[in-house]
Amino acid sequence: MIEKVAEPVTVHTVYRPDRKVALPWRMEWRHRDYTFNKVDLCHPVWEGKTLHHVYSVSDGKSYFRLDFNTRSTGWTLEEVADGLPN
Amino acid sequence: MDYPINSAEPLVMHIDLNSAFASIEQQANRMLRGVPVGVAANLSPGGCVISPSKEAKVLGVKVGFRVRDAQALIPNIRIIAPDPDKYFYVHKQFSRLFRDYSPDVVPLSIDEAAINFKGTLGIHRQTMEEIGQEIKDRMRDEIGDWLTCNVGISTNRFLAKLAAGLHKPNGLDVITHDNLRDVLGSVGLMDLCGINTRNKTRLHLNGITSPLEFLDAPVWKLWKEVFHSVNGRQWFLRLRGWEVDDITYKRRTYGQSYALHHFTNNTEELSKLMMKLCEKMGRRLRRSGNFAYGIHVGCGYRGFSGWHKGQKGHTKLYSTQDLYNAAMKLLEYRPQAPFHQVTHIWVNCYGLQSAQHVADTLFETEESRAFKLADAMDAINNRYGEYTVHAATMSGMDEQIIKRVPFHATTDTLSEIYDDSEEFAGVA
Repeated sequence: MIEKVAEPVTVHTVYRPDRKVALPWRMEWRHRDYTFNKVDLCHPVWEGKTLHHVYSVSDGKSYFRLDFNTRSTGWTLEEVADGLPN
Repeated sequence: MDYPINSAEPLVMHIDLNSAFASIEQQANRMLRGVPVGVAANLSPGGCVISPSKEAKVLGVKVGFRVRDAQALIPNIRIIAPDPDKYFYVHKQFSRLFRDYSPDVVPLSIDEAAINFKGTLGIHRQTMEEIGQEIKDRMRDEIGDWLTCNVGISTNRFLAKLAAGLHKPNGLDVITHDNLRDVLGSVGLMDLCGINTRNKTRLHLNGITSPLEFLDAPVWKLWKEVFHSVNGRQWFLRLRGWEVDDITYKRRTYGQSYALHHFTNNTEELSKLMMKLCEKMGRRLRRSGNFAYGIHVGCGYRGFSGWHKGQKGHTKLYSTQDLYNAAMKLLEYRPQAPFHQVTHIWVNCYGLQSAQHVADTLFETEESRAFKLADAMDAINNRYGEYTVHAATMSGMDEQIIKRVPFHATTDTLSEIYDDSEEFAGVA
């Protein structure tokens, strides 16, 4: 089931010098910590001249869609899914 | 004309991403992997499944199924809404990867492309099959580990596409002059790209019931008796592996259309939709640096009837307001009886001219002011996002006529619709 969230969250990132990218690896949301074991896709979304990096990540049990706004440098959790039908 | 079958080395590759949108959704959300998924244009029961996943296809769901039919067939199917930005990003990544092999890459739609390897250095180091396999591996490693594609190789785009469809999913096939007859003997007429029900009927009426009979038909028969046009000659050459499809057509129109969720014949409701369609069309028109002289509007009615009307004048149509006024003037002529409930509405502009050819005037005119105002509004929307400033008629329309996946769009068309002003490093 996919749930729309749209809440600001605390995200810890790790920089990978070999691939020259910074990736989210931990998130604090509703007093719980989630550690991501895989970034499955990262795609850009332009809102005017503002670039958003949208990360599709998983902790092995759930899927999270995280949005990083490069203008405000804020993180937003947009969606959570557990894989069950809606 | 007696052309033989093209015996040249097959150097055209067709690449087709399997179950593209559904696979990309499964790539992003690994909770969806291995389960039947359908990407639907609209999540309501009457919505259309535009991309079933490989798992859903195995269970019988096909492109074009209604959501309710897919759910009746597979009760636990995951129906999800499309995310065009994601698909366009993957499309761009594909195009980037293909250009590592050849500069001659032609995107045929958002999920398929043709690559011409003629004159490239790579073919001296590897065979075409090895290159095809390498592209598949790189796609998995660099773009997404869940993404698979079909690769077809032949002497022209048509046969390369046919080869790519022979073993789905994840196939790699080559059609040469040696195996052409075997391949055509193993497929049906409708498996040939471009042969639809009407063309199949034409061929049947002339005694051509299989691709092999199609191949053996003389050119005069195809030209004079079957197609009654130069199309017959093109099919004759196409089937023999000669390239006739590498033509780029100049854009002559810009247009937008919308299928209404709630059928209506209320002019006020239709005018709001028309304003948003004109804004989207106008943005693309102005981005191309053109204005239009003609406008064409149409609607589809309940019961599959329709109406359309076009008009070309001497007024330059450039701003959204100009396009909207011209469109609404024509829309007033539509049949408006109570049973004429509009199900679809569309608008096109044509008679395109470059806006650069408009001579500067010494004094400002209404027209030049309208051009400048439209450009200024576009500049604001480019900077702060679509619809930051818009006509009051469009208020409350945020959730209507949203960004959709353009099927069969080329990279040029996709770039008109999506913002991609900077390159972006992916994370695979």
